[in-house]
Amino acid sequence: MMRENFVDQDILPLTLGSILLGSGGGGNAFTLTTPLENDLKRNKQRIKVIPYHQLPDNYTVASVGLLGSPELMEENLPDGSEGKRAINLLEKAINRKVDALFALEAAGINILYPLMVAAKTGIPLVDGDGMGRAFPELHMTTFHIYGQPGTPSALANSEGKEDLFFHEDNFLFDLNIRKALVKYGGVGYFAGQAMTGREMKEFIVPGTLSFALEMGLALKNGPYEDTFQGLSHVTKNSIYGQAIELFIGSVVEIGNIATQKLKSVVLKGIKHYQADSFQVLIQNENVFAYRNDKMVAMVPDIISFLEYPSGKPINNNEIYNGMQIAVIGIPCPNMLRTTKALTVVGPASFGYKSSYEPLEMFHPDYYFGKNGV
Amino acid sequence: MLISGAITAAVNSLENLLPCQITLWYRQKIIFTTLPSPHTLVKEWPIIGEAQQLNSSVVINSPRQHHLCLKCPVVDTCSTALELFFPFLENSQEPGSGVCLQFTQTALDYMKTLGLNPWLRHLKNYAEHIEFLLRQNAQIKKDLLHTQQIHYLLSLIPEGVVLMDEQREISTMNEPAEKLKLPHYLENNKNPKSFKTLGNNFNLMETPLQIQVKNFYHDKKFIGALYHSQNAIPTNPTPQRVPPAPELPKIIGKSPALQKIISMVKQVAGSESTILLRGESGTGKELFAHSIHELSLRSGGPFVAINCAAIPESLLESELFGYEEGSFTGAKKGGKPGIIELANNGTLFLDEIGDMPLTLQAKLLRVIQEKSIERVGGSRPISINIRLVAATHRNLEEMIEAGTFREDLFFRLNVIPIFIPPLRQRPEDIELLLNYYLRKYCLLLRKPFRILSYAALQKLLGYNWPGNIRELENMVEYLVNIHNQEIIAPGDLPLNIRQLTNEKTPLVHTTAPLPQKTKEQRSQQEIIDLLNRYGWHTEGKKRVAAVLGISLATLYRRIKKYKIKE
Repeated sequence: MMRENFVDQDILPLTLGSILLGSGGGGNAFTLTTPLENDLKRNKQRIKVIPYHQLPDNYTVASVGLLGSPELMEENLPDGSEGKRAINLLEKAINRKVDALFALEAAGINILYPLMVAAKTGIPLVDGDGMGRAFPELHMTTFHIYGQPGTPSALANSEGKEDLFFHEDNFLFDLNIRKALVKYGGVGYFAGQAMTGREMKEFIVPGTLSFALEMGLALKNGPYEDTFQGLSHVTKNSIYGQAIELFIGSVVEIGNIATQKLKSVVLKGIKHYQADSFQVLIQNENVFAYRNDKMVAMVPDIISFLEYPSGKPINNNEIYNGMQIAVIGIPCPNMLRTTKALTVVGPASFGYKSSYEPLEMFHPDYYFGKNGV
Repeated sequence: MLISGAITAAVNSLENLLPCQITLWYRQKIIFTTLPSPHTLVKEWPIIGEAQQLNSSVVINSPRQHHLCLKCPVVDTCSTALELFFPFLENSQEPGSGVCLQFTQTALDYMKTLGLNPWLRHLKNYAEHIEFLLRQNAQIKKDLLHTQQIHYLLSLIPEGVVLMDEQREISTMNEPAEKLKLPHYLENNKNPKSFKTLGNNFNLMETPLQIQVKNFYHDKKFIGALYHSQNAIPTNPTPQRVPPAPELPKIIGKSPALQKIISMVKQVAGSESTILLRGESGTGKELFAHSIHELSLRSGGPFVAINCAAIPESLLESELFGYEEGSFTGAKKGGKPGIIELANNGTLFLDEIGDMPLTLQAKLLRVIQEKSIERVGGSRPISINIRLVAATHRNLEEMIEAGTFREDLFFRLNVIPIFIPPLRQRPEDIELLLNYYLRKYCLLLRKPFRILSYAALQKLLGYNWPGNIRELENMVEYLVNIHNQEIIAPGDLPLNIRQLTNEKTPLVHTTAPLPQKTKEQRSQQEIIDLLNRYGWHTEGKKRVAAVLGISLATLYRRIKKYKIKE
């Protein structure tokens, strides 16, 4: 159901859904839930959302979001004014007014922060994003993949620091904005990727905000079994593929693999997975999953954790030894699976020197069997 | 080991008869003694080791001088005049089980007056008696453990289980057996080999129940039996580790029109009533029929589909009803069952029922009424138990008027009519279906993934899809096969879609900037549009309110304010 407004009651389900889309990463979105809910309630405000088909071609749209460490952000919570300043700076640079905003990464904090800025500025938000999930790098977006420039972009923080970036190469831009972040104390708020409505419609991952909300509504209905049933229904009727249960187990080992940038979580099966083991490799987000040492899911498909048996979605930095979790896989939208896209967000970008295998092909019985989806 | 009252009594009676110290050893441990402070280690009792070596009873008739006494720790303080050890039978394997008796001089003198040998024989009998009591005690304990273990084991089994003794009296049963009233059936049927009856399963549906019997014999004599229940309908074992299949698995769509149909299908699938699916060609009627079967209680049975329009009239009868051997030229030897018969205990799906010839319509009506069929050339009716789902894209009412469809059959079929909306009435689903089939065919055909450009998507959304989902699916399969470009442009689309939509604007979504209308106009038209889409009933209004992000009360206020009427 395409939404045209978000109200305070939508913020909690949006948060829950955003954690699932975070594929294990994306930061602890709950830190912004309450401030945003309270703001909307107090001001009796609604955030205007534009379904992407209704976005006028001549609109100027720009992304807004958080960059850097979500943990450091928690020390000094934003209120949306940082994003507002970044937008003002960007407007000056492009000499146009921004008519609508969008989330570059519809996951975790980067769903909630653009909502906060939209509430603060009154600028509507487009229903859709540039990643369809969380990714660790700023250029891992459909806009970059299909040839949109990331700059000019503006960066600001709550202490009054501001910068503009004009690099033509998105990789160089990512590098320099991260260099600037060091001066910013590790956290900054950006506005960028300015384009027209027409351009945006071509490469947006559509409807991701509504999708996060719908998943969030399903995730409110614990226990896990009900949650999963709901998720199945919502994901099936979306541009994503139907969710699949990959494993249920308890965490027996959390460790770093020193030579790689990867972290590893090992699970021992419970319930009907009792005889099996499971391993998830993490680079900010959950990127590879193995059952009994055999690959069962890989990036850019979504690999997410739900607390078992409550069914509550969790980030990969929230898990601890002995915790029981369910691992869920969701096939990512087709736009992240084209040959072009896979060179940017495919397994090779995370150190896996082999070609991408879609989630459905790891589980053909579930997706194409007699009772397949 | 705990010793029973019988053993204590036996020991006491011996002590009363003859003053002596009695010590019972069992598996290297003292289990009873009259000694005030005994040594408890078996090596401190050399007499026990000696009995093991000799494999017989040992008598020490000259204590303190006997060679065994040299090893004894209490040799200095010993006042015993005679010491006896009667080993138990199991002592031959390992030492440490038997009865040890120690007599004082007075007792020995008393024994001698009656003669020592008869006393020794008598005491040996005593020892054997005590051994017997000990064995009995151990056996009782073992039996008790078995009983407890069996009770627990039975509680873990979902099947009803009844155990019987040699008199065919029930000795044990579990809870499912009680629920299934197995004792009741067994009472009336004391010596069954195996029989069928009706039981209640968790759905409170009466299902046939098979009882299996296993008899146990010893020396060709009956010593007991075990009865257990089994569902007579074999259910497919669920494959391990395949996550549960979701409801209505293959039906994609979020449009209110479709959601209404899905909830209706869920509601009626469980009943046994005949369903008539109506809708244009290509709307997925068979998929719905299959879903109805999967959600019904018959999902364990067969789902048999036949397209009445696809089979020549002359063959349709034998296909439907089967035939007996030699009923016509070319008939198979031994005859052949028809698909109605094959669908027994399951669901029969008759697609394109409107294309069924009038003669067969009459025969089909009979099947529905009589619940039995006759094979072509056959002489006896075969009773059948099927759930009928029929489908057609034709206007049956018009056909009745024209006399090409039987009215009575129509009423028999039209018990629960379900109208499946054409794709153009569920525009929200077109984009979802395009995405779904793009994903599906890229995967199945092992092609690199493709996406639609926004302009191509607009063209497809604007097309009115006369062939419905079938047309859409085939079009996507064509695109995936033919085009090598990653992004599918409008120029890549099939000619009919390109041409037809050239002048048309998309049906569903406007790209006109929103603020051109006044707020009031927009609200009014918007509310009317949404109410038309989601329905004017309370449930529909709730959804409209949710879409607009306002409360239900506010929506009612606006309906009143703008004087909106259905």
